[in-house]
Amino acid sequence: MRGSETPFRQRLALRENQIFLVLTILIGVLSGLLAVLFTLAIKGVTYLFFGISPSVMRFLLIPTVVSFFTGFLLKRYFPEARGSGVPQVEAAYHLESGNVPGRVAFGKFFTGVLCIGSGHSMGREGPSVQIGAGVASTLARWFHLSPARAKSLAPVAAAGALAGAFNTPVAAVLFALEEIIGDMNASLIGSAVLASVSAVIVERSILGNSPIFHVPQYRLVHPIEILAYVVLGIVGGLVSLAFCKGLLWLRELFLRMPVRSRILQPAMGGLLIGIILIFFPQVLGVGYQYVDQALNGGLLFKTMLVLCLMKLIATIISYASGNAGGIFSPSLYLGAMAGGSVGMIVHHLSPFPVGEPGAYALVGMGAVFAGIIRAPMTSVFMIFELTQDYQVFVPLMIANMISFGISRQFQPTPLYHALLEQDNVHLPHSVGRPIVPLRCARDVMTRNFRMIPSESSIASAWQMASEPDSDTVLIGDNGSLTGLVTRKQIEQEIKSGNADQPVRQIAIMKYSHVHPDQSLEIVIDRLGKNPGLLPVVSRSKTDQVLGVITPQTLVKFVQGNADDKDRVLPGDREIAA
Amino acid sequence: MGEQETFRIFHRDILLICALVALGAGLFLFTKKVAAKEQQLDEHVAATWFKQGERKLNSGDVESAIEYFRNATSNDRGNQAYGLALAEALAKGNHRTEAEETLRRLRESYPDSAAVNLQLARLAAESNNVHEAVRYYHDALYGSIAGAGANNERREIRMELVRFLLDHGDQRDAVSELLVLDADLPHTPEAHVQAGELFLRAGDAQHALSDFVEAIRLDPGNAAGRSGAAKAASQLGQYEQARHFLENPASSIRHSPDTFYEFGRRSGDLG
Repeated sequence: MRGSETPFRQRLALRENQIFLVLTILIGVLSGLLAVLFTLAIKGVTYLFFGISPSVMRFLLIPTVVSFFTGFLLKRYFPEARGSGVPQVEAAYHLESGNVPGRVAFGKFFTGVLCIGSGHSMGREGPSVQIGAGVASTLARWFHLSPARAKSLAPVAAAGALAGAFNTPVAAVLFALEEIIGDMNASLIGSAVLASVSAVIVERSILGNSPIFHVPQYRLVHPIEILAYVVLGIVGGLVSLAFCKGLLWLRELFLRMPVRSRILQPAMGGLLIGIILIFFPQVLGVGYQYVDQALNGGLLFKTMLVLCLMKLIATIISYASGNAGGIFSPSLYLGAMAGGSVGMIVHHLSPFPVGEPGAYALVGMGAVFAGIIRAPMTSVFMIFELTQDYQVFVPLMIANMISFGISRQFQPTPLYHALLEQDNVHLPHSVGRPIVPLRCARDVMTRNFRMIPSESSIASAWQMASEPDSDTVLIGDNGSLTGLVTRKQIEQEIKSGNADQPVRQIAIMKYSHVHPDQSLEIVIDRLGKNPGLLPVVSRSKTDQVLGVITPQTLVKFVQGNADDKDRVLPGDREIAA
Repeated sequence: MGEQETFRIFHRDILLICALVALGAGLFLFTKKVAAKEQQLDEHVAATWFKQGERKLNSGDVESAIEYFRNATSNDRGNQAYGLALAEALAKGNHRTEAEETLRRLRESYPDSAAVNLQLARLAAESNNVHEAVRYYHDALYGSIAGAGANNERREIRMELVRFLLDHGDQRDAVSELLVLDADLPHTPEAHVQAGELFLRAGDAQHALSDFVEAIRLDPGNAAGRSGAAKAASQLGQYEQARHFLENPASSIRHSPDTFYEFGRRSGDLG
């Protein structure tokens, strides 16, 4: 068939495939370049702020003052640029077709450089991922790609950015599959590889080919040493658990503060970081030179123990107070210090020959990373690519899986997902190939609902509750749900003479909700937990009501299905006549 | 209409892609420039740390020196001098293992560096690892040494090796090394005296005598040369020659207890 005879739409589809291929390479290159530039900018800014031997006043003032400025920017112009960037990209991928505004990428770059460069104990890899995804999303819009294709570019950009930031092409691809998409069998593996390779080529042509960490060739000295690595896995799990719990707790504390204080919270964190830096300047910024020292046995036991603790505290403060930066690098730092400490103990106490403490620092890095980030395969390959040491693969895998298991047991929700939940964003549970149930909440809900403002009187709530099928009333302001109130509650309050009181005083604040794509089974289960009404809310904004489900709507749905007997649905069994 | 629309879209795509490629190329060049500037900055920072480290080392504060040298190597990984300084400071501070690792890492980047191999040889020598020490000494001897004094340095390394071998009773290998050393000695009495003394320690009196004679030829009044020659000659049973070497206008030789006693013992003059 000649080109001129090809239908317009077919040609467009072909065009989209070709553009996607070209964009994959371009995005890999651009993400990689931006990741390198981000790294260089942070180094330059750090030197600018702190020089070679900073004074106490510098340690105190720089993080505070700079965070005050970045706090303003983050609150006013770039609220999506707070934090790591990885959970935001995950949310964009799963909930918004991969859409990351270009403004966010710019804001992340700028504020990330300032935050990390001013001393905050945060990583640069997460921000690189968000910057790359922002660029990819912008290009997708420029080329008018379909939503499906635009969505696919987010993990591709993540792979490119991480490869450029870490010089770890394989781990970057695994990360995109394991963490962003959540499915190791994703069809995007080819594109992710292409982007990763492109990024690494440009990165190495600028920064050279040497690994980030120079470590001796460690190996398993005695088979029984595996037991020591099991212990290391347990320690790694506990450290990652402490980090996750601590971060979520402190962040919750900051989020509960008045909204007006959000603009100042980064500066509060900056002040605390400044105080820590006076006594422990080793926790400043990324801190890879100290990781290198731990990997080479260059730190004392007590030093590693103290640095592990202080880095944990500093990173929690930096992140929870709302600054822009990631947690990859701090995870590696924590792991190296914890692992090195365990290695020192093992070396001292073991009756049989064991490896150097540096080997334990190496494995510890992987274990804590796996426990915090919850990407065990990425962790194994990342450590290998960062150090180019294959000898400790087996201990690394063992320690990783143990740490991962412990972290998952006591913190079932992965950290990135938990951080999103604190921001009222709920990712799909099985973050993998979304399994769309046959029947879901969307099919049952009614969009016919009303919401009463929270300042309305109980008397006006009674008017709404008197309508048929309105045993329960939604309360909210400006389209945001804040609570429920039942007819029975309203009756009681009116009888008590409180008809003029605002309805928010009697609102039920703790209630169940469902999302449109959740199954009927979940709907039925949660409907029973609520007093007669189940709100159906958006995943990307959990206080935005899309519809409601009541027992009546459920009955109507069932009756509607019963009337539609001739409709054959997938899964229906044909009964032989 | 479809054809026109298709053409318009493809045209726009090509323009966009060209613009993006140009942007990528520009960004690449810009990033490379920034990286070069960063490297200069790193080198400057490393040099500052290095100087501070040297000051600390000279003042005896080894641990601080180690920390500063570490900072220097972190900022300028490829710099051999910083790595060597760190290794030396680590060895001085009794951080043997880390010193070795630092040097081994340096050796991966500079396998034929005489300085690096020499440091490794010394560390191996301290732990009496003879085989490894000899290996590193040889690597140092045949490695690259920059500067005009390369020959002198090589000579010093070989002498150090010879002393090490003699300390560990390996006279045969010591003599082999001395023969090589001998062939390249500078024409100074001190050099020949030094070689002669080492030959004597190694039990090769013949070659020792040759060197001492050469020293005397270059400087007839050289006391060490004459005394060494007398020793060598008497070990070879050449007592007349030994006496001749001792008959020197400089009276200090006759009154030197070692040579006089040795001469007397062998010639039987002393009762």
